[in-house]
Amino acid sequence: MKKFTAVMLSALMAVTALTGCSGGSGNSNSDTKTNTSQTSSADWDYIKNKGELVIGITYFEPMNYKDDSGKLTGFETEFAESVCKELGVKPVFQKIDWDSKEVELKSKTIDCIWNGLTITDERKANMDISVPYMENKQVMVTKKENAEKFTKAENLKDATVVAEKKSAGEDVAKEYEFFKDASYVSVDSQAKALLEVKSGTADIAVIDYVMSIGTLSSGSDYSDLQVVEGKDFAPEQYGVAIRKDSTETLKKLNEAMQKVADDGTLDKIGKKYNLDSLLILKSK
Amino acid sequence: MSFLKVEDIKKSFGKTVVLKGISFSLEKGEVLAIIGSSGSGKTTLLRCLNFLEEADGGKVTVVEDVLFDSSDSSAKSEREIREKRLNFGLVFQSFNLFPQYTVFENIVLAPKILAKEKIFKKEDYQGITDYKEAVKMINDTANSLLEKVGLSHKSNEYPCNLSGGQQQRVAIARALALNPTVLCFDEPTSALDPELTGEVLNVIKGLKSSDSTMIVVTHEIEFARDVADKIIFMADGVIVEQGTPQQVIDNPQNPRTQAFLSRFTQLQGNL
Amino acid sequence: MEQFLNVTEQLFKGFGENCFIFIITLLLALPIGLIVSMGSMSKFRPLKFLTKTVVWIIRGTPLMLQLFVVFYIPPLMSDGQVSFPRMQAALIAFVINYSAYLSEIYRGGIESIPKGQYEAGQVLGLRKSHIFFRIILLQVIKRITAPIGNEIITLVKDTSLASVIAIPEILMNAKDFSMEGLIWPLFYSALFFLAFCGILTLLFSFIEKKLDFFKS
Repeated sequence: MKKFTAVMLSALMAVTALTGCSGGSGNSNSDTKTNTSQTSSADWDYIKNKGELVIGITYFEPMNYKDDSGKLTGFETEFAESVCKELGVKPVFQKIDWDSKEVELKSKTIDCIWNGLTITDERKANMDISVPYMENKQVMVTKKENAEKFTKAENLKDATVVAEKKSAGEDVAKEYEFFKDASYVSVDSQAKALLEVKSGTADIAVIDYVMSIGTLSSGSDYSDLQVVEGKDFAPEQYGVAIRKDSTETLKKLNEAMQKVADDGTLDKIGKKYNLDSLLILKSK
Repeated sequence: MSFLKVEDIKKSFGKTVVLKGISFSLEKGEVLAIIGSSGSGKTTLLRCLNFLEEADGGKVTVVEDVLFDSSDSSAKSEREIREKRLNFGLVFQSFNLFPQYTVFENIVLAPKILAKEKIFKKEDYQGITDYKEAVKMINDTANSLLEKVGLSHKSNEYPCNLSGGQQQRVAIARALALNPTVLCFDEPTSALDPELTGEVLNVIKGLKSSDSTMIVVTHEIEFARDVADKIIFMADGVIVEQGTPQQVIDNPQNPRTQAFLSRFTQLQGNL
Repeated sequence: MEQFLNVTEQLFKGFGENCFIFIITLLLALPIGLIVSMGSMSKFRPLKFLTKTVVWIIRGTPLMLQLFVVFYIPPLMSDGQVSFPRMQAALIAFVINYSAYLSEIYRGGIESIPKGQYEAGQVLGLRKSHIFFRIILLQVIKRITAPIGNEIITLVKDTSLASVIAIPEILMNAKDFSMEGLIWPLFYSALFFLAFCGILTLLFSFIEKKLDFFKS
């Protein structure tokens, strides 16, 4: 019966994930706990026996992306590869639909999510999350000619602000005093938020700083957009998510991540992708 | 012993009794016309003879051969029923030609399939044991049948390019191609424009002279008088009156027959 | 130019997945749909009821949800022990979904053939299978060509739904480019669908013309 409840709950989660609502807050935490009869090391044994860690990713520069020769690369890719070497398992990258990441994890089609995942209380309730390794913040992206104008809150009157639904950017656009005079529109991805600004249907997109590094680089279709200097909001931290209550996996993962930081590898990877200033996992 | 003997055929659909015990007999080469108002059970009777409906009771015998007997409760296989229904041919009111086949193909389709089946099983098809020979015979028969119904020149046309009368003539040729012992017509001219009925009735008349045994359900009283050796008037699932055309049409004894016929003469008078 | 070639190559790769799903789904769903339609026309009541219920469920729920169910429910129920590879799960969902839709088209086509065609075959002494294959089938095909063509063109576009279980089909690849700052691949991918559907439209009008020689 417990099993059945768990399945129904998971099915429900699948449905909510599908419709884009991130359901289940504190409640589902306790549900998951009572329904998990495994010991804390079961998950690690499962991964170790397979000999591979299936890493759920989406493609986005500079975290995980295909280089010109079609090879998967990026900051997260290289970081994950180094950590897997420490763990003694083979990294297997599996592209997923970001909206389904929780179901993928739960149904064991992936073993972790390693893709610039922001640590939130809501996510902590549903998944175990590693030590934070990188910092991120929300920034405003606008057309180059407007960049100067939008540094002042009074110029936001009559401006339209756009952000991804349910994202940190949305919280910023809706709740920060700075945006109180602007009208807000939500879209289903950060890329679409940028498209709105480019096409002129919105004036300002609030997106991840990390995302802006990859997308606004010269030579992209967005080269006429830029980040508004000196206006950052809502600092946040990235972590690696694994299945809830897999204490042993979490311990091993944190140790390995620390090791990769200690021997200077993490810093080197960070420098390579121009992200070293954001790293918060330092050598001890 | 009669050529065709039909005894006490009964049929109901749910609570509606359609045939309340129909009996008649027919000699070889005779033409029987069945008349009666719609709903009298004429069509159902024909459908029972052709195994399109299974009668609830009764017996049908063709030359000593019992085709149907409700007192024999042994289940009939599809194969047995197929064999037995070949004693009867049926021409439908609405022709039911196969639209994707030419006139010629419509006629030879079934004979060829049946011949193939028979010869494959090492049996003979109308006395022929070689498939190629059978096909030649079937083609020849089809050609001569087309000539008989006056449509040799339409051999390669598709049914949709023919008039209703022509379609019905093809349907007659198609039924004849299997050489049935008794050929049945279910109101063969009812779906036709009045000016086209003549050509079909003429074909049926022509068949009479070639000694075919036929049962014709019809509304054409004049035609029935002309062509039939025997007439049955049906009403409410029973035979009200039967006899020669002179007896039934010219001198009806039963008041119901009289009423039915007078309606017809009136109608014809009006026309 | 180099970028254009790279994008084209990636989109072609993705469209390969779409075409694979398309072809396998058609190959399996066309015959299975016919069998299902026989079930929903069966004189055996329980079978008819069961088939109709299943068809109702499949047609009454979104394909996207069915993809989810096929891919995630087995591992969720078995704690990861039982699961289909992504592509297999997608094919299962697509074949089931399209069999149900096609079965209704078949049923409509078969039931629209006048009873007289069967009876004409019967009185000519033909067996049921001969009546169906030699007399009925081609008439059914003629009647269902247009609706089947419609359904098949819908299938071409539906294959993109496979991205919800992370099959790297064309739209997903195009979206990845937009994450890297390239917008035009998303619109460029439309050309692939347009071209494919264009070919199918030509093919179906050819078939319809071929079947124009008779009217039923």
